[in-house]
Amino acid sequence: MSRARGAPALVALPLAACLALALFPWYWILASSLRPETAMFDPSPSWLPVPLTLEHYARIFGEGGFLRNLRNSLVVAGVTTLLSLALGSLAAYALTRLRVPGAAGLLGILLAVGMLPEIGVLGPLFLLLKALSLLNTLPGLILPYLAFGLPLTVWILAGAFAEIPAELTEAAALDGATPLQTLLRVFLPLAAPGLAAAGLLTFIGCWNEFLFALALTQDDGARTVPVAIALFSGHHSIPWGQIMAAIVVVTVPVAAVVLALQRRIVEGLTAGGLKG
Amino acid sequence: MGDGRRAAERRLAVCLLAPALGVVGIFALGPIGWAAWLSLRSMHLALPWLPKGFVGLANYAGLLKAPRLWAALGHTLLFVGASVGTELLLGLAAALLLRRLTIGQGFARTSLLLPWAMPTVVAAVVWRYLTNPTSGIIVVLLRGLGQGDDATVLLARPATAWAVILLTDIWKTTPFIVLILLAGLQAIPPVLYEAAAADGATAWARFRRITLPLLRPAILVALVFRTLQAVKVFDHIYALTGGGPGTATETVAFLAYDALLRELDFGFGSAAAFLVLGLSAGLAALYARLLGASRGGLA
Repeated sequence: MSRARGAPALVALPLAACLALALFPWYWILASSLRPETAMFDPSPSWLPVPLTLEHYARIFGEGGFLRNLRNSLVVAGVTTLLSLALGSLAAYALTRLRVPGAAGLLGILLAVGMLPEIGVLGPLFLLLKALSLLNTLPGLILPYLAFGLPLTVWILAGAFAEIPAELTEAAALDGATPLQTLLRVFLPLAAPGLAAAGLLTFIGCWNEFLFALALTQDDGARTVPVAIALFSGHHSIPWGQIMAAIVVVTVPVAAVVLALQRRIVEGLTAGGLKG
Repeated sequence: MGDGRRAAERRLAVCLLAPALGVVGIFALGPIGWAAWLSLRSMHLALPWLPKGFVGLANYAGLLKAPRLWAALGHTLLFVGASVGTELLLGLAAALLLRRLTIGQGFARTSLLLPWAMPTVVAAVVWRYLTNPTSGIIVVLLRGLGQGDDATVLLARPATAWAVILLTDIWKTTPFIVLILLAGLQAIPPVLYEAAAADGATAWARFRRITLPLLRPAILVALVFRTLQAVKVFDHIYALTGGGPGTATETVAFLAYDALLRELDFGFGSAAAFLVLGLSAGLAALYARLLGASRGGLA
């Protein structure tokens, strides 16, 4: 028994060191966002952001561009997630509950698409969106995100649906429910954890996506947060204070969501891999 | 059940599958075929007076003759090897440590998920800030350790630029690996360890004979995901070095992006992008074979 525990110090010290190394950048980001611009060029910066200033936050919100980027990111991620869950549920239901010839093959192809390097389709996507006049628009981002996010959603939901016993479907059918009603009233509530996991992963995936957002948008009309942060430029030099403030603004809500739902996220991440 | 019912079921299945498969087909699968077609043509969007026509494998020949491509390929493979290898080792060590944690698992998990939940390009911007020659904290530390001014312009020299790129990736991605491995570790029944300890097995023997074999599926999953992700590496390069100094930190994905959207050479760029596709597909096939073999071994 005592052997299995191991010396606590042997565990605690390296763990503390790891956590310190991993968490320090966050502290520094926060501190830097609160440090006045003049202090940015101080060759020996103080550890604490004293004097404190909110000038960077005021700047990024005052100039309006960043708020638009936030809105764009929210809309794109939100709509993609909702559509992904809707279309994914329908597809997962068909694949697990209806007789579909080649269902396993379809799922395999979907998964392969999900693993594709996005750069592979960037050229054609650019030309396609240009032809459809969807360049630099929000739908122009939503549709490719949907295409690349559906595979994972379908995979997770198919896994969740497969666990629902057949008797429940039969009972619903006996009660006179159409397949769609069965889906809505029986499957979706029971698969709620899977829906949550798929939704979260899709949302975070869209929020963080960079390549398509960079290539398929041209200005703040449709630009999302990652692109805005990467392209932040100042008149004389890179406005690090504002960039750090922007990062804090973006990270705090994400951190809150992650804290609240970390168990779901881990379930979603490990579901397909370890079981499949 | 009657044929009529079966036909109705099939119609329903088609209706339910059509939207999802339609979107995927139009915006993901179709474009792959189009990219293949484009790679066989000459198409310069910036020079529209040039003829657009079928050029066969000329783009690919051009690619394979370009030292820049081979350099980018080498960089990519080195990055994949170094990042995945380091992250697996560190991740395993951290997961083994975290397994012992009895309190604060939620906090630990959140701290681990936070880098994962942040956009990669933002992580790269953060590390660009941390290593900037004027006030970056890393640079301040280096100066404190006695490094001269030359040594502190980290992103201007290939070796140190790659170090920063790798560090960014390790900081961002190791937590994800820790989570996967931790889940795998927690699935190992403790009774196995107790039995082995009762038999007098040392900690190392317990690790080698129980932990590693039972962790193999999780390790493979982490390996496959990370490798396929690492091959696509782009965000770090864009935000940290822009491929520089010169082309010393270019990867194949970056090269393809440059050709496509900076030089607007859609023929050559599509060929380069297709190369990345081929690389990913090859690695995926390799892993599929490895996974199949391991599955067969355990059966």
